Amino acid sequence: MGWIFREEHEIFRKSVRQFVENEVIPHTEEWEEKGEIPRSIWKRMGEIGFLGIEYPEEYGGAGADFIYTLVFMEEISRCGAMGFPISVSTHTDMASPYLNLGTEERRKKYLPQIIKGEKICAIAVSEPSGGSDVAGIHTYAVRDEDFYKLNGSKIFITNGVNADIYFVVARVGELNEEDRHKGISIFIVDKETSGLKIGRKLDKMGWLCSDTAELFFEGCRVPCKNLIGKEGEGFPVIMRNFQRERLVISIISVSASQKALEDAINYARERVAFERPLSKFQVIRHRIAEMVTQIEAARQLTYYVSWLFSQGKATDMKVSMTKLYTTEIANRIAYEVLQIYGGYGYMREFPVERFYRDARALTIGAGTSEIMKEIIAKRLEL
Amino acid sequence: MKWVLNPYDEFAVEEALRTKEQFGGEVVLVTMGPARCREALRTGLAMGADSSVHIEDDNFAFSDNYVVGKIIANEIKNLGEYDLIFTGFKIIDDESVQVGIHIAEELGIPHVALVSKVVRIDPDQKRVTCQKEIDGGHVIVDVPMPALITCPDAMNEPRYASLPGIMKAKKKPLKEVLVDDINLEALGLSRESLGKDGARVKTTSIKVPQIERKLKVITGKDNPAVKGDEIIESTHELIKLLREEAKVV
Ligand SMILES: Cc1cc2nc3c(=O)[nH]c(=O)nc-3n(C[C@H](O)[C@H](O)[C@H](O)COP(=O)(O)OP(=O)(O)OC[C@H]3O[C@@H](n4cnc5c(N)ncnc54)[C@H](O)[C@@H]3O)c2cc1C
Repeated sequence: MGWIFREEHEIFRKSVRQFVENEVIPHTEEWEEKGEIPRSIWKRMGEIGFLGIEYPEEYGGAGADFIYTLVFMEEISRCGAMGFPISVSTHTDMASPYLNLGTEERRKKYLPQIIKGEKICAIAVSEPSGGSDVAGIHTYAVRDEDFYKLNGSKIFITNGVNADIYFVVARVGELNEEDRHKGISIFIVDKETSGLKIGRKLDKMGWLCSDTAELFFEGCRVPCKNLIGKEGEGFPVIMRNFQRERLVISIISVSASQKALEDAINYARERVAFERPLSKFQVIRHRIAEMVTQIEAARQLTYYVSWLFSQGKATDMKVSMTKLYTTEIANRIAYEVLQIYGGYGYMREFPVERFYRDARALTIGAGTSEIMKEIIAKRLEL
Repeated sequence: MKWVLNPYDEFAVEEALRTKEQFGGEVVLVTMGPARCREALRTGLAMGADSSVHIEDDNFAFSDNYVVGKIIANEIKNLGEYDLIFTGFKIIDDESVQVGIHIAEELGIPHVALVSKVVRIDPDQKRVTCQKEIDGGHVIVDVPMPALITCPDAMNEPRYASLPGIMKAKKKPLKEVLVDDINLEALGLSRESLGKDGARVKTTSIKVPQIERKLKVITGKDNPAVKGDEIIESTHELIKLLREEAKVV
């Protein structure tokens, strides 16, 4: 069970694993081809309580802690198509938690629908002009009586095509070079809002079953009550939720790598070259031994920081280290396991080919490796 | 090794929950086994059962079905009134098909084995109608309640323990019963009749059948780089084996 999981976590793990085996894996091919996951799977996850893990019971959640989220993400990441955990976690962990800082009235309106899987969420931070520099965004909001008018555009937005609720980051007022963070604000934008245009579904290298879009705001009228927190003070709120987002990406990285490695080990045991299984060649044995060690290290770091996070004690430095290490390891493993498969690894019908493409986005989304290093360096006061 | 709940018991839990959802009432889980069984009980509680009884004592380990049936029946009696008992029709470890039947016998109630479907429950008349599959058709059996039903494969599709269910299960009662809590004499048992040593049925050995490799692969040497006489060599080998080992030519 390990030091972090209790009996009830393992019971939950079993439920999620059965769900993934019965209701996700049989459909991943189809979803990858369509470039999205169907509404029905959201509703199903809502029914079994997967979309409200940490939300309070009064909104339909389970009131559980982050360790359950860890278990959930680990298990859904074993489905063989990373787009699935990405799409789901964008809804549960990267977008909807902003409501925790919204008004009670907004929570009452949105959370039950989100937890039931009736409405899907997206988070819109990145812009065509840049994603790393959150304070440097160009989308702006102007107050107009009981409304804010939003203008600008967003890009690479996961769930962007199919979402119903967008958490949109925009600047109120001019950029102040003295205090670049000031003015950043977060708004809840319903899909039907006039002035919101959903661009085309973007063609990607991987994460195919998560739909990704460009969004355009042209005088988009958002009611003032849809502002999250205080006007102009959204930057620290975003940075705080980035910790959750980055930890979830770390969990996905480790778990999907683990699955890919397990598959590769089986392959190495069965595939014969020069009349010996691949697993009997020292170079392959050692490569596997190295990868198992790397994953174990990545997993233990992720568990430790997840535990800190569940206690409210994870620093952004620790989270950045975790995101940096786990996503880079996932890419190293993707390269190495594909090599074990030889030519088959390069073929579409082998899951490792998808894993290789899926892993590539991990060091980019939710803050690039370079940005993680910048955060660590800053905390070291270099 | 990963221990799992006997799958037939999982069907039994699901069937009990469905019965409760339709007619009301309460579902109590009863099991006998070591500490690791607690996870199975918690899972059942998370699926929706109301409470559970865990007869947990090393003295019972490897007891025979007769003893297990008696002890479980006794705990069921202690629970008070009941209408239906659902058990798996057999256990997958030693394939015995007895515990459910022993329990019914001890309690002096009818049992219907291998029920594929509970057709009807009449709470007023206190009767239950069950369907059983037989070769080329099915049988309808109607018995008075309380009754015991044993559950076969694919009787239903057990639900997942939902997360809210798992959180609620933490607060549900899980009663633990030890050997000292049971009046063995009153059941016609003694300490000596428990466990492996007391078992009337002795398992003398358990063996994994040895699978003989019947298939032999003779690598084809159809690589153009291979010289002609080598091809003949492997063909010769094949014919030799067909004649001497397989004795077919
Ligand atoms: C599949 C996918 C899904 C995504 N989903 C979402 C989403 O749902 N919502 C959302 O808001 N965004 C999303 N993103 C966007 C993602 O967060 C950004 O791509 C990322 O933050 C980087 O921004 P950028 O692409 O504009 O790169 P840039 O910021 O232009 O960076 C380009 C390169 O320069 C490096 N760089 C930038 N600044 C520095 C610096 N200070 N020091 C050193 N190097 C630096 C970067 O590391 C990178 O290598 C998604 C991206 C992808 C690929």
